[in-house]
Amino acid sequence: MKNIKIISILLTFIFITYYGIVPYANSELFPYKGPVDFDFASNDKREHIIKLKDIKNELENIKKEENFANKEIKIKNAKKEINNFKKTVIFWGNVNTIKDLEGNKAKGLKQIKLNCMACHSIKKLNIKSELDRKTANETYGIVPPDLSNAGYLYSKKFLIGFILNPTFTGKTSHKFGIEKVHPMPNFNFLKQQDISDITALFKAISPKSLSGKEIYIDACLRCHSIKYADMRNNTMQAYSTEKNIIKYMDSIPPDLSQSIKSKSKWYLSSLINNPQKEIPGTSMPRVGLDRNAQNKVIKYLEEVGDSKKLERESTGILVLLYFLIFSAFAWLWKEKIERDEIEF
Amino acid sequence: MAKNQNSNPPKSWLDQRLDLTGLSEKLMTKYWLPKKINFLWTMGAILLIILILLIISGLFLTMYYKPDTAQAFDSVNYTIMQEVSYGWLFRHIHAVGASVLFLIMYIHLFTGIYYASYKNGREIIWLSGMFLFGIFSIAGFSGYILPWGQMSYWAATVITNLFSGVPFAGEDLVIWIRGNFNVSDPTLTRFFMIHICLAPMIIIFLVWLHLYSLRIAHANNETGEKINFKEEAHKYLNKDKWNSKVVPFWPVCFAKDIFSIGVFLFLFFALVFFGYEFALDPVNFEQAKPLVTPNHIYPEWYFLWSYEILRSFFFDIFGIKAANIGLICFCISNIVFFMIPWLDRNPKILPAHKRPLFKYWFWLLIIDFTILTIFGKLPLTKINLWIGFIASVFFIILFISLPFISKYENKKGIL
Repeated sequence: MKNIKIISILLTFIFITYYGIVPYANSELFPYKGPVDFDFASNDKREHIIKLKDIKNELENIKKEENFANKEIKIKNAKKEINNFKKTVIFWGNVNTIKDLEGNKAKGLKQIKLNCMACHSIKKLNIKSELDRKTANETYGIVPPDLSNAGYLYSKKFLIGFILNPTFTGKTSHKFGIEKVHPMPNFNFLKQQDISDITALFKAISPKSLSGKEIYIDACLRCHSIKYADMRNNTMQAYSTEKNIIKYMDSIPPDLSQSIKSKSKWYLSSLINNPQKEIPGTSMPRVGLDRNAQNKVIKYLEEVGDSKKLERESTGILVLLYFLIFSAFAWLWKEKIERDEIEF
Repeated sequence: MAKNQNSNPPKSWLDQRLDLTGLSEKLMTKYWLPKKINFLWTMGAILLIILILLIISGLFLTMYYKPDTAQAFDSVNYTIMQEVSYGWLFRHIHAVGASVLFLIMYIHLFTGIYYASYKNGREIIWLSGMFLFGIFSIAGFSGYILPWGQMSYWAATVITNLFSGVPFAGEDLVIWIRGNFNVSDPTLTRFFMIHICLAPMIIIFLVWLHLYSLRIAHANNETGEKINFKEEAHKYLNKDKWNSKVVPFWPVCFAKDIFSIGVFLFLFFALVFFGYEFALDPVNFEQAKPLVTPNHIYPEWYFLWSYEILRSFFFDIFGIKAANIGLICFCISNIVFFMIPWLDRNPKILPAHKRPLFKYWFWLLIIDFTILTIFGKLPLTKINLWIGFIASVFFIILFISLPFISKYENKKGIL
């Protein structure tokens, strides 16, 4: 009985300490930043509404504000924010109209040859880009993606949004402006029907299924190396060299070999879905993967970063079973010894 | 060669030369322990098992580890964790083992304080134990640097930088310890040397000293009663086992130890296979980047209480810089545990629940220790700063008050 009392006191303190330094401390160090939302339009609107609520509170307090200059700045910010909100609503409204149009893939191919081939290739249709990878890398800092799988990786809405305005849809407007231009211009000069045709082609040529590795190569490898995926031949190096990408990004994207261990699954999925939410101001664009593609790519990160997971779990059960049986026999032996040596 | 003709049956060849029978009597069958002890007395055996696990897994890790800033990270996270058969198992055992070692050491230490097993002849046991704690801290810290992750690098930077607070020679001392102006390759190789050579040698010596001094002063018991071991052993050997207050280590205590070890290893391996995250900090799976400071720097959990004391003084007092006050209190709080045998002025050995004031002192210490550990990791908001400050000051006050409390207990003779 005494032992049970001691054990329960011990366990209480161990549990309190564990709760404090793991779950509680983590929730304080890495606070929850809202849900992962694959409907990017609703996600953007929600973000704006949260901001507008803050602004509304601020405007209510502004009457008390004595400092005239501060007052001016606050009103200016509020107006800008309201304007941004309006722009977002109009933008995604426009996307929705295009989405509902009937697309023609043959016409889409024509449009692609006219507008995209200067930079992008479509290996599936044997269309080569006019710019080879090395030159593109040196010119733009990054390598423009091949578009064969675009229809699989991205939702129709995201594709349309990205064609219309890459920086807005990718959430990198803070990085590009007058001084620095995004490598891909806004194709908002195209007719709505043309854009619909282009996306129709992407959807038509999209593969039925892609592996996690293929998705990684398409969506991540242009910037992020993952060297543990192939240590021997070193084929999983980022397409853009460090020297070039730093011009585009202002920083070097990290190798993702161990990202499944250095970040939680939850964090990775939130970060890929919306990088600005987890790292405000980061150069990483919103990649726009849909739920299925994103889950697959995270699974691939786990396969590379934690390749012994299955072995660990199956061995674990056996080892625990062994010590369970060991303890049972040890207890029986202890009881016998106590009977013989102390009580008899 | 002289043959021992007198013994019956005749001694074996080895026994004649090494006196194995005598040795096993000394160590096992006639090593007497009090009967009134609970499972907390098996923590020492568990610690020994962890030490053996650490040494074995460490040997295997050393076979593949590369102490070089360019190769260390990949040699740990790729070669050991993914390429070598069961390399991950050895790393998990080593990392979880280190963490659990400290947990059991804290339990062992506070058990010692609770039952006052540090005075009246047991001072060397206590001191050797505390030195073990100190050298294990150094081993833990130097081992934490080896994977060369972000937390390795920044922990090394922050902790080595503490020495700059030493008067006069501070800055030079920091460079001497690092082997360079900043933490870099020479720092890694020397910490490697400390971790796999210097610290283990000292640990093995201290473990021997700890166990040897225990043989002389004997183990304490639940009631603190002073036992005449010779007399009680005599009773036991004369078949008066029921009335004897002692039992031999073999087989009685050994069986208990084995059972405890079995249960412990079950829990330990449950952590190794399924709950290792607490011992392998996520930030350390990013390679060390000297130019990028992590958002939050914190040590492993077992150093959090003293880290909190170090950082909790956030304002200058009487013109002394806040950082220096923190450093001084940090040193005091680590040294003060060594002094407990002399701070406790009550000559009687009694468990805390039988001491009217000490029992409050003990539980306040435990609660304060827990608070310090938890707040050592939390971000420094205004409230957290004040809680940390109060807990740290309270920690120092607790130890300052110990001599007065224990002396008062003795004087009043309330016992």
